[in-house]
Amino acid sequence: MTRGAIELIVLQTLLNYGDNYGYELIKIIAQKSQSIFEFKEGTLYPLLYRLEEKKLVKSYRQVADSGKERRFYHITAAGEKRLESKKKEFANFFKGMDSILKPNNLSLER
Amino acid sequence: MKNKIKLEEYVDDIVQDLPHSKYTARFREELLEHSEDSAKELGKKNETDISEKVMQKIGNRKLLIKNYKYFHNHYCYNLWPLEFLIYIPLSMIVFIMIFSIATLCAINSAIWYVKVLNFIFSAAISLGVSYVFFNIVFWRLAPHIKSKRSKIAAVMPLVIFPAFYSILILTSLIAKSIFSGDNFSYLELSAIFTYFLAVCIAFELIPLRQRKILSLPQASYLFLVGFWAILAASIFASCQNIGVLDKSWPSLGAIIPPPLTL
Repeated sequence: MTRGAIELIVLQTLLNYGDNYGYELIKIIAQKSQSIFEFKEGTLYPLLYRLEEKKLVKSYRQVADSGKERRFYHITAAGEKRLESKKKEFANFFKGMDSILKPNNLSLER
Repeated sequence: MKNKIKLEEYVDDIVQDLPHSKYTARFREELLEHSEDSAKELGKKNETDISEKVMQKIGNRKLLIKNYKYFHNHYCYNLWPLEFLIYIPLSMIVFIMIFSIATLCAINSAIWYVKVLNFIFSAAISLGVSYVFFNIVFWRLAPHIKSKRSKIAAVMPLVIFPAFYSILILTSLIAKSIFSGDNFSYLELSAIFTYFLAVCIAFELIPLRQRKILSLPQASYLFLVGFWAILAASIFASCQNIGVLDKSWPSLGAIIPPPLTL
């Protein structure tokens, strides 16, 4: 999966389901994608750090439902803006792919 | 408790292979918390050892390290002002040490082995500076660069630096020929070729950087040492050549390029 897609998924999950920590994020993403996207820790955490470096998310420590303190991630305004542009980018990509993959495109005019 | 200790050991074992940055400790912390959550979810707390199972769930250790290193290489290569404050004085100390050794070696520059040393210093310093400089440019700046135009802009210092160095040598040589009437010596010309040879070798050495043989602090430190050494030696040698400094001074230009004034 492309790096841009993972970024999009994580930002959208944070926006839809609110602030959360790594473990829960992985679970939500796996559940909502019907286990199509099962991120590993080595993928998610460095990505979250990268997003934080870019100021697209920010993190803070808070006690989770489990009663233990965890690092929560929150999508910033810049993150939301980035998410919108990524969504447009991917919508165009899928539109293009869809057109290419349609069977009637096999008979192109020359 | 026993499981927690095992998990900690496992996580520490992974973290020790990671390059150090401001995120390393945080990654350790989150990885450990993640492992604890995984262990809890497995619901096998009564078992004597579930750490292996948790780690299997967490995934491939090699991939985890690889992904973290990717992040590190792209986002953690920052030269913080504090590092500069540390490395500049350190580089000056090392430079003074090299400077002193060079002075001692150059007291009698007519001796043949000083000529040999001359070449060794020339090659070593040039090689070191080129290698480190290339490393910094390629591994610190290049990963961020997306567009072709920006790539060219980033690679420009690679052209500017050798060009600047060559101009220093040539200016010094021209000044020497004007003021003293001496011709360029073979040694002086060979210094230029040594430098360019070093640049070529540096290109060949770049893949070694991928194996983390040289960390960024080491690279920046060496770069600054080389930079100070070459800059000071260039000025010194130029001053000697145009007669600003008395040539009875220890012939430092004979030891540290440019130019070689044996």
